[in-house]
Amino acid sequence: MSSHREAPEIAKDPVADSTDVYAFVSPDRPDTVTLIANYVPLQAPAGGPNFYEFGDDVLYEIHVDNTGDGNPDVTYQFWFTTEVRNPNTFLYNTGPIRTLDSPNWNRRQFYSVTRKDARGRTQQLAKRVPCPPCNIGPLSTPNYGRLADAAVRDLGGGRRVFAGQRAEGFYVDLGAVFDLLDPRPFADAHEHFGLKKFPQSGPGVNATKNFNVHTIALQVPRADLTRDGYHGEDVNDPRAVIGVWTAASRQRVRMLDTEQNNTWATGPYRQVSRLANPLFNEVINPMGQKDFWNTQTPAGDSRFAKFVAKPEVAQLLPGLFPGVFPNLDVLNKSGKPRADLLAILLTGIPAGLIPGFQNFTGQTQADEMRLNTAVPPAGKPSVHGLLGGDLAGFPNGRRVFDDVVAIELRAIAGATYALVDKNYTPDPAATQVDDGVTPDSLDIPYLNRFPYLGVPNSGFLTPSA
Amino acid sequence: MPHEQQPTLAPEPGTVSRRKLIVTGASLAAAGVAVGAAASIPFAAAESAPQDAVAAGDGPKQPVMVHLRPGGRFDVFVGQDRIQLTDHAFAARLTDAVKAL
Repeated sequence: MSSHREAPEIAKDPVADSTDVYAFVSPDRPDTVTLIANYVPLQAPAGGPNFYEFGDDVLYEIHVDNTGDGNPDVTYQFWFTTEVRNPNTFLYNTGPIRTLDSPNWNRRQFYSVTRKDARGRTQQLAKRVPCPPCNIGPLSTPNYGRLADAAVRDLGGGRRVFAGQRAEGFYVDLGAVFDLLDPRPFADAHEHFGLKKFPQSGPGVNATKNFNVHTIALQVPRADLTRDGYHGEDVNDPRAVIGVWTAASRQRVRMLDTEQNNTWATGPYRQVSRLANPLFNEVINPMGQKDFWNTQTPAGDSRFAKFVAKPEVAQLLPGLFPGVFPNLDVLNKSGKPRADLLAILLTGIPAGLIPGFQNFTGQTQADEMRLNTAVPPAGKPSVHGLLGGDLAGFPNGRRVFDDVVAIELRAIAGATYALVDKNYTPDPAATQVDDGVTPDSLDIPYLNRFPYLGVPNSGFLTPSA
Repeated sequence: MPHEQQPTLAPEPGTVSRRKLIVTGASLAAAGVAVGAAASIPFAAAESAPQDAVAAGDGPKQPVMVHLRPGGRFDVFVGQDRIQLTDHAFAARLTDAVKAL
């Protein structure tokens, strides 16, 4: 997946498990940037009676680096608190929830938002903001869209925030990808390993289609995030570029206290999950590095650069698809580092490689979602982002609908190597390979307004995810 | 994110004041022994320990966790902070205590 359950330890801790990060110039308010961090993966919508929520014991953060050193210059912290109205019922709700303060809603969650800057100054932007309930069904949460809209809090100055359940917007054919990287549209070309019965080529299947996720979404003026408050239109101005990632932290000690019959935590917060570029920890880092990577900040990511320079997937493709990736095979065997991937994932793309574009943040190698905020939203967006000629899409930030699986798979297959080596000719398949899943596979549409991710799947109407 | 206090001056045995810290249990781990607040083993705490957390007599106001590391070093967790101290004598007593388990 993008980063759902991507490392052994965090896979056991879903409320702290970051799944996707999005950062884009808001299409309906281009003077602002929208930052989204998703957590709590693969929520089966009918998963009651204890429906999904954020962790009261987890510190959620969205970090922004605007100086290119891999350290946060602006951080938004989100702290959640759960309140139970009536502990003497097992029910999440005892009647329809029509408003966020409905007495029928038994288990509510609130949060605060704090902004920190590089000088350590903190400002509480909001407190006791209500999350919407989960989308249970037409009896419990009638008119869910309106209910969730009420949970969008205006913070003033063009800022707004939302935290709560949303429909999973990320799409991928998991079953095919993790069955030895066998995208269904290209199954006929896949290595058969001597097996007689083998899948035939066919359309992709979106494995995350009916799931929900918990979203933290923030929309702020561009100047809130950029160096020197830059909000100009010069794409080549380095101050226009920001690097974004999310992190979740837990206190170092957790006690199951039998004497007081409760659980408590103490000590400093330690990072247990982080995410910027999709699939980085999932398919770039090897198993033995994933848990460690989750505890680190981007500033130290040069230690992981070797996995980007020689990605395992690129090494595998020529063998998994015999004869399909001959030029990639030669590139692999040359031992040349993948300078294209190092730029895309760790430093940003310098000026001069793609006409009219750069999102370079300097020589510090750091996994960040780099967004050039001076690039305006696209009039006709391509889900393939930069690969589709759309400068406003991934890997220039990431919009909710960007096909990051196809983009990254094609880049790893060599489609972007010609950017750094004009003598290299990508294999034809490198510009076509994908998992065969597009946003058309989603039943619930994205929104054209904040928070952009769609209304969550209803438990009643989606009884089997 | 709150920062950890390190390095912290490690008082030697005999230079620390004695306060009662109640300990509920102990568990052996590869790195040492973790001990929780709230029970019965007297503990020599550092002067630098948070005053509100180790008030004498009635125990700490919030949970305190103590992690014994090799070399008589202790990590003491309280609130969102950690302090470090070294107390060889107390470490030896704890080690002897858990050997009996």
